[in-house]
Amino acid sequence: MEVEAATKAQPVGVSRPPEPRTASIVPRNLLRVAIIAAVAGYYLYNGSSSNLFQLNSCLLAAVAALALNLLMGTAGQPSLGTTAFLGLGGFGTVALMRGGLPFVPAVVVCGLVACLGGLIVGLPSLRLRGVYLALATLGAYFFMIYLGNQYQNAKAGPAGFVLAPLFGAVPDLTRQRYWCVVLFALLAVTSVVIDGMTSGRLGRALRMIRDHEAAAPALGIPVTRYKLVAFVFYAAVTAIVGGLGAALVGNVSTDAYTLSGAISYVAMIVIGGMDSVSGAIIGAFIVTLLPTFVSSETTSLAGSSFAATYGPSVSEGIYGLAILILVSMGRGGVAGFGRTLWNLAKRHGAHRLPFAGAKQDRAAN
Amino acid sequence: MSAAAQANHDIPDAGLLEVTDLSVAFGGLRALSELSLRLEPGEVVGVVGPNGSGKSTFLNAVGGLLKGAQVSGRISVVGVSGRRRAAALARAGLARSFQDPKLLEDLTLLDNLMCGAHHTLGGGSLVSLAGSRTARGRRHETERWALELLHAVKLDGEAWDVVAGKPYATRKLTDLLRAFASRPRLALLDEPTSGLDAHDRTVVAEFLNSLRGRAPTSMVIVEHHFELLREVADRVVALSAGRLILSGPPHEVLDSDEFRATLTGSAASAEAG
Amino acid sequence: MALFTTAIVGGLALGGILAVISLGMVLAYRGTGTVSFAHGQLMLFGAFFVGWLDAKGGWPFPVQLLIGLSVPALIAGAFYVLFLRRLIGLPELFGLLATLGLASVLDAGAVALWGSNDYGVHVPGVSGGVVHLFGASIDRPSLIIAGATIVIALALATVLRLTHMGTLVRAAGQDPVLASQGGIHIHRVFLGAWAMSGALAGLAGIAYADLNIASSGLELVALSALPAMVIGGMDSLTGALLGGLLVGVFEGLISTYVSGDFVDMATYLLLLAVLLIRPEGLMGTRYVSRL
Repeated sequence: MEVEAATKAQPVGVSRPPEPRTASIVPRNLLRVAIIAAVAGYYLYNGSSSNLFQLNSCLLAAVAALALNLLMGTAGQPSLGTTAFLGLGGFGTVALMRGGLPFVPAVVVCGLVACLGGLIVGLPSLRLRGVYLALATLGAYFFMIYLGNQYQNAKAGPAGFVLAPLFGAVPDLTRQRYWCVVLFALLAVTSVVIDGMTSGRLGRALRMIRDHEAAAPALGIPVTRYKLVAFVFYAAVTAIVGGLGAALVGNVSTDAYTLSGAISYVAMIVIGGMDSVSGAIIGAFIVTLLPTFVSSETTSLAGSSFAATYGPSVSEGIYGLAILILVSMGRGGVAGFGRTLWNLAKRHGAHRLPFAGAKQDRAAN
Repeated sequence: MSAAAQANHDIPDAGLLEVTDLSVAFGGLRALSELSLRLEPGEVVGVVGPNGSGKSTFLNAVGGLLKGAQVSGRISVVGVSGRRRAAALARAGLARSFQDPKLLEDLTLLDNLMCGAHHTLGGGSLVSLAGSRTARGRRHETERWALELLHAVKLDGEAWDVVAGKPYATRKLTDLLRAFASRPRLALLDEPTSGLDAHDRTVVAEFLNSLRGRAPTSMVIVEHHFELLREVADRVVALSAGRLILSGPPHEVLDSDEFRATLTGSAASAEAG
Repeated sequence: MALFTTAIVGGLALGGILAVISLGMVLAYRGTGTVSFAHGQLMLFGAFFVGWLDAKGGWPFPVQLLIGLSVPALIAGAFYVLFLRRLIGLPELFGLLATLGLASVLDAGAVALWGSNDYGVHVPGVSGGVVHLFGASIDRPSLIIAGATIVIALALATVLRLTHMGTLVRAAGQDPVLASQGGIHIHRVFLGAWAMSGALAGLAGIAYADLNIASSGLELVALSALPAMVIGGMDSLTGALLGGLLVGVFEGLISTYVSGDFVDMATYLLLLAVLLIRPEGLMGTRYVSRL
């Protein structure tokens, strides 16, 4: 700030432009990872196996939410196909493992297949507007459900496939702890990678596509290629999450992959705050924990049978309403609310100083 | 000047911009008819004409941004001719500013300028995370240039401010500066002073003139404020109903009776219509 | 031949319903530029109110129908006034997201009101019986619903054309500022478009439930209307009619000759094919971006 003050004070002919000072993304990523680590660490030591299972579900959902946020929040391309790619990962992992492949390579192969799937789904709709992409992803969903049903009916019956738990013969608590460590690492890496991708050149280009698609090519941004990159990345990450999720839950069945499931991922992004890495993680936690929270609340209020019938739809109604309100009234979501509070607090702080107005010039420096 | 307006394909290195017999129609509506124009390196050309005379269509045709139109004739821009894509043209050295500022509202002024230099910054799409040393060097160099541009219009103090909430003039200037962030060979400016007050119009004129010393750029400027063209342009061409009717030094064209007649004529017909 | 006739008539009945739905969606789209993903839920509310009142007894059909049409119309209108109105001028992504929110809220509302019950809907005069046609015995209701929905859709498209209401909605949608300067109350026009689109969804829901049953599966029908709308051309009333019938007959043929499981996927493959060959649909306006 001193540099600017100095430049302004000098006569125009002599003044020099300020030095470049690119803000580093390292501190905020360290902080974010540290907070997730603290939450994970707490439950690793104190959590029951069901606590940990929920935390693991949240961590996993957060990874998929980050990918969707890149696609929808940053690049502005809506997708209703999250469960389609989750399903691709789930069924793909089952099929490959039944074919004799170990778990990790199976999941990786699913990710690669999803790249191809993403290419096929994305390609025809990329030259058109976002709505068509949403429709194409809906098509991908029906495709996945059809194939999944055929496969499931042929090999497993309506209850679906059962996956052998990972990490060998250990107590459930230990297993969930292993999972927690693995998923924490995955989320940490994903969040850093996505923050890195979206805070530089690529991020600016994607946001330009989102906000001014027609003008973006004039700035040298290859719109089609970037949309495709975002979509393929999203598809691959989501499929990997699908494979991991199948192993975490231990069951794969088409019943688990619903359209409202896909909308719940959209809800995570909207609630957490569009185009915010922290927001996607917060949103994933909120939406994933909401059914549990609602069912425990409704159980204490109205009994367990009521909770069993109405619990899931109450939480669906809550996040639906949250989408409606946040989209139409404040697109920042939780992350944006936090930012607003922070700004308010700062500005408020300055005003509460005695004679703050009189010393505004110095305060501004 | 009529020589420059002529199609001239026997000169090697056809120059920055060479348009020959360009006609554009949207459905049955003819927007441009047999327009020919040639730009010398470093030349600044103003394009004037009443509303609907085809000025924006001309810019979009040159910039490769025309969609759903029937185009005939030849366009060669920054060494690229034939079927051209806007992004490829930008990479070859073409830049563009917009009548309505098309900015990233939630990013800083500097970020917006950097966005204009997208294709000159290194790094693949996914690799930009790690960032090679050359990429970092180039980013640093581009940032320095962007800050210099902001400094030239006295916006350097706000370089790290977010665009959202800034006054219109700031946003308009940012959009204009962004066109020069990539150090283009040819810049297409769509009404760079529209909506600006007299003071900010002088800022724009001074800025464009200052570029001659700093980073010589050819420009095509579509403009309604003729004072700007008098100060900045080497040559002005006048369009009327999609045809090029006049071409010459700014004062010759702008003060000609013929040009005035098209303006008042179109104003009269607009009132009648 | 008999099988074929059954497939075609069944397809036309579905097609007429899809035409009514996509007509409503086109109206909404012309106005606010929003593609509605909540139309299935609006259909469901129309059909369930009729079925529910019928099951309670004592409600004559005209009253049932009135309620079944006005409830979705009110919901769609309220959705516009409370939420969508604030999103005009923003990228269409936001409108799309808002309809997803509405869909979730209505899903929850349906469970709260009706749990997991199904209801029968009985439109008077449309019940039982078999008609012999080209050697095939065809459900009389299918035939009636096919005829009625096609006539209604056709009539509506014509009325909208002749009275310039469709043009009014389009004008307001294309340039709200200009339209309001031209003396059009754009918010009233948009509200009307959405309310009407809700009523049409209700009508389609009632017609579908009469042929089948009012159950939560209704929502999936609207997901076939989306391709119908896009194939027709997004903003064309006639296109919606054509697209609806086309998709309906296509689905009838697929479910008869291939498999019922294959229907949704095949419809979206058809959509993909149309988009590849003719992105603006059969009768739609080519999308031109302005700078």
